[in-house]
Amino acid sequence: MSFLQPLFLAGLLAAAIPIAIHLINRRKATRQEFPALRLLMESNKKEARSVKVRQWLLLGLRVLVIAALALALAKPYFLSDEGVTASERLPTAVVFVVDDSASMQHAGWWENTVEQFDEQLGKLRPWDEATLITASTIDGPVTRFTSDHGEIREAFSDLQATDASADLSQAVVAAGDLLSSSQLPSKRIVVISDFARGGFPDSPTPEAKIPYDVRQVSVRDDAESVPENLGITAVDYEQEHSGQGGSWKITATVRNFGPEDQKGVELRLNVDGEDIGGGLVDVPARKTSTHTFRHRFEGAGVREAYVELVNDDPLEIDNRYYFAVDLKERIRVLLVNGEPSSVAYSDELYFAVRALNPGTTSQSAIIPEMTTPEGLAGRDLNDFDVVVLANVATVSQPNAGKLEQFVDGGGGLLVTMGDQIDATSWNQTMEGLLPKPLRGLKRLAERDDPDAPVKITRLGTGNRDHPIFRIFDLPGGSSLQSVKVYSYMLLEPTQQTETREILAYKDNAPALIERKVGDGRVVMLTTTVDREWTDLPVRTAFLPLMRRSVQYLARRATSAGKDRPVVGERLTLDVSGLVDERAIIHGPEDSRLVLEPTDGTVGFAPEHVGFYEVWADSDEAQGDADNPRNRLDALSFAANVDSDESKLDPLGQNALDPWTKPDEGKGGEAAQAAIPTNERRVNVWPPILFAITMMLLLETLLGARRSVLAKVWRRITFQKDPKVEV
Amino acid sequence: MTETLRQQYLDPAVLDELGTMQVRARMLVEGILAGLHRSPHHGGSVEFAEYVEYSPGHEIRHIDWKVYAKTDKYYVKQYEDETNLRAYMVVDGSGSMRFKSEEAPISKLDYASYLSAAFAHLLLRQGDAVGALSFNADQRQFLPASARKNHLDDIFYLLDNQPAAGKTGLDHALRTIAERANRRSVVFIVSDFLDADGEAMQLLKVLRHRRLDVAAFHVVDPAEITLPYEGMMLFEGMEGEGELLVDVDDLRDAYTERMREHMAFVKQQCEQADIEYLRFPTTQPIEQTCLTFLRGRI
Repeated sequence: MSFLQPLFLAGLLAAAIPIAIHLINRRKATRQEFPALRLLMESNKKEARSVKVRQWLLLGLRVLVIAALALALAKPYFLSDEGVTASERLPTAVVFVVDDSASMQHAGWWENTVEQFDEQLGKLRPWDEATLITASTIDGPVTRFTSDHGEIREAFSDLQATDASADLSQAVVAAGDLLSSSQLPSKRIVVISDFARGGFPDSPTPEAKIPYDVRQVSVRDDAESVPENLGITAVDYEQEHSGQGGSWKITATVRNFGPEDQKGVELRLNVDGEDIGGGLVDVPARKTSTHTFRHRFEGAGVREAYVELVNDDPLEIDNRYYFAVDLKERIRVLLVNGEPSSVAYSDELYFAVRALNPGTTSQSAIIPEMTTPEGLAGRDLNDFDVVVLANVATVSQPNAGKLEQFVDGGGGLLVTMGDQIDATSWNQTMEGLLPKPLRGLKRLAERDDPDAPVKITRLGTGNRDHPIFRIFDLPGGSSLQSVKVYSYMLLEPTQQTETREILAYKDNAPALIERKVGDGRVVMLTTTVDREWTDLPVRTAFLPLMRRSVQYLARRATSAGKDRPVVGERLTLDVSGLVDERAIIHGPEDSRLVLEPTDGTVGFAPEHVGFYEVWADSDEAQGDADNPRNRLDALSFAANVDSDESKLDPLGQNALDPWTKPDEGKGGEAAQAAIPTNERRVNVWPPILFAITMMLLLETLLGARRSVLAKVWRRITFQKDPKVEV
Repeated sequence: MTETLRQQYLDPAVLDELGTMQVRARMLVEGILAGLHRSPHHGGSVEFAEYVEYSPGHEIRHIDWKVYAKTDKYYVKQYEDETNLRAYMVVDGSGSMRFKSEEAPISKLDYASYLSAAFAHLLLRQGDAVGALSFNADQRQFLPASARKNHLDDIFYLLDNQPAAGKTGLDHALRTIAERANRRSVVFIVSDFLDADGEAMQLLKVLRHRRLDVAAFHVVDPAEITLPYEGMMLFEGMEGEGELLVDVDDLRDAYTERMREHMAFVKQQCEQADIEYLRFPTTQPIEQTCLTFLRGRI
């Protein structure tokens, strides 16, 4: 604060005058003899406290009045760049940018947004024009400048914090574009936001910087502190082996966005509205932790599930992560027959097909389909979960590439040996898939050799931990060890990190060996699936071994590689061949969206977190809920909040500086001094004078004799003076 | 000097106003003056009635020297023919009675003295015996009751030489009068009753029990009721209570309320003791006060 007439501050000494007068007055009291002094003293005891308070109050007021008068005469003022700088006196175009992203659902922040918006809108003069855009949509709700501020207020009243993510910097740039269209001489952007780190995912480019006055209005109660926040950033699920009733591994990833370690955070899994179970996890500050649930889904179709954090952090939207699981009903197997035969049980796949699908009356979930090595090229492997190459002599390079892509994408490949196999060719074309290179046939005995029992080998015990062999723990599973093997394919003893032996012969040569390729697996049986090299097909262990192998290899339902739709981000669904005229999307909060496909796809941005069902042409709203063919389970999905919205770290007071152009023409200090500033002088003495007036009025009331005041009051209210009776 | 005193205390206008008024005892009075008072005793024989301890004012010829020889104390014989109405003027001569505000013509003490003198004159004129007691806490001047004509001068002298200082000591005065006054006496107490506490009021009741006819004259200065001062005042007690510095406006209401309570207390105590109570300001004409009292007695 500065003073125009600082000399008058010496007048502050005059504030001592009332004190002096007070002291002198005490000495100047009129002396009077009085007979009833005892009664007077008794009355004084009763009144003493209030009298003393009033006396001190009066003295204080008088001192204050004189001090304030001296201060007012010194004409205090301060410089301010608020309110009516030269540019701000001109009509101003204002763009309000309101952050309505998910992070604004933090407890209390939206209420603060409402207050701040009212305050900022109230500062506009009638001739100012304004628009209102939001960070989540940018193109609304009011994109033209209007001087009807009531319209802006009404448009704002319909807003609330959404589930969507928002790039605030883009919104500011869009506001700059809007301002460039305004004809008014003064322009300003007012950004009302939490200014969280997650709202600025990108760095500014020089051309994106805007040349306007940008004002930052924070809705945080404490602009500096980092709020505690936990969020579930991902849920991964994986079928441990395919088929109905299989076990699923569901892994939730929890991130601690806050500065303090969190211990014993409770997570709960919910499937189809039913609470399945929970667990506790410790999450260090700024780190992630995972927790794995195991669950068996019953039946087929889409399951809607979510993992939820049971805690009371102030941002709730990231405490729940939705995911949809599509349970397959059938496993489709493409069997490539390398040695077909018109004699049924001489056919390479006679026993295998019957093991996988015992008959038309069976309820088997495995649907085998046969083809030849030549027919393999014309097949779309995406229609199948498992491919079986049984005694196929060679695999062409294109087919090998096709198979490799199929396995890499999660498909399963079962390779069985036989006398047709060309080991050299296989080693060349199928190098990327074979668990180990083939060395050559090892013939132990012929079937009709009388010494065969001593020459042959038998199967050993399987790896009990492997899903294929878990079933052999059951009674009767020991029949596997009685299988006779006359011949088998020897493998090169190479070390493959992705390869493991599942089953060996008694002579320790590998019988069943597995290799993981991408998301899929390859299992190789080094003997045949017909009776040429072994009597395995006629043993009781064959059927479970084949079925378990295929189920194990089948394409697993997994979250890996799947899109993770985020609220507010555009999503494209491929509906080619599924939808004739329109796709209907049912979302959370009873939302229903009808879309017409373009080039076999429909695109839209989910607005809320939760589950979305896609229906073809007609939907349950039209009474077709009983027709499951209309519901496209494979396209159903769950949308979640962008994890950027969980990052609540404050960016501070200068968050928007990188997005604005620095003022041009700024030179050294001398140049700075030469530039006329926008600061204006704000005089403080008028309010001080007003305060003096008020204090004097109060002093008059307090200082006036009660008898006088009572008399005045009686005059005002037309009362008669009371008569004193003796 | 006596003439001067008479003129000072007996304003002719006052006495003219009271000239034809007769004081009548409320209760049965044994002795009356001839033609005015009815006596319950028949015959005019002078009979010994009782001994009374001598005090200045008694006739020396009435001292019983035989009793003096036996007891070493002076006792005076009282005879039946002296049982006319006896009245005692008990006047408060304390410091507070000296007070006179600007709106009052005379001080409370002057007012009390004039009033007492008027009653004494009236009573003596009709042949009743009048005594007087002037008191404060430290000293009490007592004149026994006498019907002698020149006794009025003694009373005037006593009234004129009151100390007008010191504390009140109403209780001591009442004890004194209780000891000295005969039964069937009328006691006029003229005071500002500022130190009238429970004990003093209890003594008033004792007087009443002793068959004394007591009348309390409460004299007040208007300023004591309205506290008409302004601004900072340093009040000084008139009976050594010390000083008090106050802004009068701050406690006027509280004081007047307290004063009203006190006056109500005195009045209530008197009424309970069946004592006639009369309160009047010093601005009220003395003859009006006398008439108010006497009319109540007729």
